[in-house]
Amino acid sequence: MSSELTAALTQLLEPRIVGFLTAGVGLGMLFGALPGLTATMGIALLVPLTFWLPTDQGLAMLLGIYCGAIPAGGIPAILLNVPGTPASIAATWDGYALSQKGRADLALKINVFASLFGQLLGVLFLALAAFPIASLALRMGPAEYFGLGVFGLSLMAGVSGKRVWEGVLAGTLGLALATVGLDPLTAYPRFTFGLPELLDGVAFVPVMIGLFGLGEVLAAISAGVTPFGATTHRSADAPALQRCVGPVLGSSLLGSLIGVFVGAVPAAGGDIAAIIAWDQSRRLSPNREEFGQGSTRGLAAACAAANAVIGGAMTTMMTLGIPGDAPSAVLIGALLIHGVQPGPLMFRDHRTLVWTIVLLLALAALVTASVGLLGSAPLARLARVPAPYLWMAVVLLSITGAYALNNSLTDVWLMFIAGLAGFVLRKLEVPLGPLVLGLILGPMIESNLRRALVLSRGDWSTIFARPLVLVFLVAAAAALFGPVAALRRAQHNRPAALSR
Amino acid sequence: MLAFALPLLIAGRPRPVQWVATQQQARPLIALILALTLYLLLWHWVPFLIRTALLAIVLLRLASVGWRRAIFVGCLTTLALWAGFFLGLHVNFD
Repeated sequence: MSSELTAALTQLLEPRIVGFLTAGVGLGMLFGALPGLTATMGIALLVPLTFWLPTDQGLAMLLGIYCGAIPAGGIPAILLNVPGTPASIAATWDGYALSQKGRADLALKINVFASLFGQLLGVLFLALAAFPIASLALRMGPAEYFGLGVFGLSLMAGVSGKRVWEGVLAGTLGLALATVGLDPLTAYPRFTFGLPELLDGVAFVPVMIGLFGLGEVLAAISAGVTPFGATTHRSADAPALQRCVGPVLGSSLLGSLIGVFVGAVPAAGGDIAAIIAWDQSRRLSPNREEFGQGSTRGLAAACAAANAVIGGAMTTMMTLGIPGDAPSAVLIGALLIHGVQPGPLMFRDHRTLVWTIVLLLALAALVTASVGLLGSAPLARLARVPAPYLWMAVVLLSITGAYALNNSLTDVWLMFIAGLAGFVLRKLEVPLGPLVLGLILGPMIESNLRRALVLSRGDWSTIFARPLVLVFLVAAAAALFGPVAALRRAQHNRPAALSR
Repeated sequence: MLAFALPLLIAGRPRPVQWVATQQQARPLIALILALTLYLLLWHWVPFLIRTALLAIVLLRLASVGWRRAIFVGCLTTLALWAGFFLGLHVNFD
């Protein structure tokens, strides 16, 4: 392990890698600080650009975007009461209140330090837990992978909030799209309609660009969203950071632990983690009434959790090939473009790359914190760029990015159709996370089930008799039907509550 | 299955789908979709620089940006994209 770590460390010292990482962090902070642009969108739009770069340099840029965008989302949340990314929603509750009290500098510093704390703790978890999880996963056969895939897919109900059935529908849509292309075992074309471009299946990256880029712009235009410049930016009084170091550290630790756990759960992202961490921090705090009124603890917990998600999500993505959140789902596409299949085999065949990713994440966290300390104020001013210019830039980048990947007009049409679908699904309040899960996990579930059936000579009972498969399937049933049962209970109780 | 599922989803909602916040938002939304469709249909007939600059200007005009600024920003953005992708990465958009 030490030789691979040394090799990764040597790679990391190359000026080009540091340069691409810093550029990525800068771009990520731009995407995070501009309300309406997200980390997922930034990675999806920049993936085609990294196609021309060596794997380590391309990954440096993409991981820089990922690590830069999430903390930067807290800047407009604190100063303008507008979350830069969904992960910074909870940061508005106490961050903006602190800003209104004239303690904006303190809030921005807490955002930087709690984000750094969360990201580094997440990276530590990745470094310590990823190899044992991967070695366990290497012992699993096709039947276990089938069970794991079904478990990952079943979480689509859990991440859909109150819209469980819509989530299931979106997941089914993703599964249906995943069947397009050559049959994984017989190489027989399926649902290609005679189009050779569809033989490789529905291209993942153009679909992601459409869903999270163009679809977001169409939804924003239809809603008439103009989230800019509604509030005032007050500069801070004398920093009181020293006084609140203890509580902030405690809340950051709590938020980070919650963030790592939520991040490791497939498809649950920074927004969920930050809200849970803020709530748990409030429950444990002796001054509950301060929460929502400018609590430094609440802000620290929310920021740390949103950032710790990165380490948890990357662990699940790299060890099992299942996306922990939306940006890591797009990163799977990026790794595949560079010829790396995320999953346990990555830990056997590309060990140096694994350590490179770990070190890149740690370095990106440090660079982000340095830039955050120096550049919060200019980024806050950038957050006031009028929406039409942002929308135009996103639409043009969506088109050029989708085309540049394979020099294929079909990919641009695919991106356009995915954008329209993303708009319609947003309007129907159908969550997009399950669709992405279905699209990624569909091939994994299908190919492993069929391999397992070939190995068992078509005998289903031997598959379900394996203990680990049973554990995964029982967990999947609980994850799928738990939210459905909760929803039915809530619907059942509502008339009674109304009559009271 | 999806052809059946989507109408059912729309019909089964407790409140009607609000596709646009106000009627004012419908015009730019439809115009943007039509402009993008036209852009893709003209891909092989109109050079990249012209069709992309036109699309950018249309997008900015739909958002009520003034003519001068729309033309300036639209052309500048198109040139920047062309420089980045064609000169930098050798991607031929035509």
